[in-house]
Amino acid sequence: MEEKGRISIPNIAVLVFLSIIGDCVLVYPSLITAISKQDAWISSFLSIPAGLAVLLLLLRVHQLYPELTFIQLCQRILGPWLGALISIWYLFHLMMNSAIYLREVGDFMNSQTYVMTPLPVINLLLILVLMWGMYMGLEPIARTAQILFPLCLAFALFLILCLLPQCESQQLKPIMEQGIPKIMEGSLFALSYPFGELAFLLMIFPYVSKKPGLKKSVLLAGLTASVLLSVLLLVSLMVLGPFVTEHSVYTSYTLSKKINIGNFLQRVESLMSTAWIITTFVKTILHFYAFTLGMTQLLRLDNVRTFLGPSFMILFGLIIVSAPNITYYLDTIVHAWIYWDLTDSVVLPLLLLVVYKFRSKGRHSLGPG
Amino acid sequence: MLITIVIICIGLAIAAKDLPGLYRKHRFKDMFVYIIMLGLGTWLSVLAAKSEVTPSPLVLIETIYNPVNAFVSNIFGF
Repeated sequence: MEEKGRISIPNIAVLVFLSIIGDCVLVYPSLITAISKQDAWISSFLSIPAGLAVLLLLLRVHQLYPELTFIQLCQRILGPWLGALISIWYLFHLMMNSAIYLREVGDFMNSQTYVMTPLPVINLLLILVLMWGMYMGLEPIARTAQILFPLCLAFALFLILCLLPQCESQQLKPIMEQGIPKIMEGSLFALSYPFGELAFLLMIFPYVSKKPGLKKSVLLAGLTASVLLSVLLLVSLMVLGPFVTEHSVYTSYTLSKKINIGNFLQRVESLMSTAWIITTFVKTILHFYAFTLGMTQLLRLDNVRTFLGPSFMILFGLIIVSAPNITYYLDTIVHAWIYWDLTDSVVLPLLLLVVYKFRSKGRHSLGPG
Repeated sequence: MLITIVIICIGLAIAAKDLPGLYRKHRFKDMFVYIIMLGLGTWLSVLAAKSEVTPSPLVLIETIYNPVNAFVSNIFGF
């Protein structure tokens, strides 16, 4: 099976942007604030250069063989057995990530909007839309994301601008009260949550049509998205204060309830949650697309569309099975999860890069891509 | 019990849609993978629809990475 669709440079920039802010925009402020309290904004801004370095590393690995996806890179550079082992690990990461994102959206809708609806029903609705997108292919997904992108950006900017009158810088004091280690731990989380989950990009990059300008636009998209996230965190710290930011699960939703301009412009939280569900949906569909494509390439199957039915059944089950409750994935697992993310987006590409350097110097040289 | 039967029927419907095509093309390896995935999917979906509390596959991640977390926390004093 080979993917026929090609996506353009603006499309990939939009996809990177949406997959950085997707799903993080809901839980990111409370996660970082739970660790570094009122200094969370320092952690968040500190993590931006490191995140761009992660993106550069992914782009560098992509340039080794621009035509090959991550699974094929593993097979070529590490050999069939080690390559297969690492590919299975990588596919597990993609699968669990897409399940957890859908679970986050489902729990969010279940606890804030559709309180009486059972969770599997909400998941089923999300999965039906996902299935429709997956049967269409990569190119329609990218174009849809490009159409919906201005909406998400406009809503995020609207949120920040409408809350500016309520900001109080007094909430940020005392600065550096927690000490340097807590700030470093916060920035490790802030690095891992948006950027560590970008490992799926190695499966998408080979289908970008015109290569020149890829690096610049991906880095620019990463920079703008992470600055947007950090500003959102800063605004939520200044409006709600560190205590409320830490203890409200969906901080951005709480923030959008605070919008009140002249007792006239208020109750816009449903519009906001629409925008965030769109971003999370784009991130999920890219992860799941990367999973099915990678599975097809690993097992050398005929056609990816044939296997979509069973994949969706597995996904539907995993959404519920992957976490017993909301506390599990927002509190218990996060300390292990960040190292998992960093393994897949930093350690594995570095391993590929190092093995490539050694093998291209030695006698067992690699053929051209 | 009803929900289990419904999910198994959905699984059989999906199989009836895809498997004859694979059989006609004599892709027996694909059929094997397909049946394993469908079985796993049906099992997980039944568990999910009955909302039983089951151990999550993420327990594997916790076992592997909690020592890493403890190590890094010790070094940097988080």
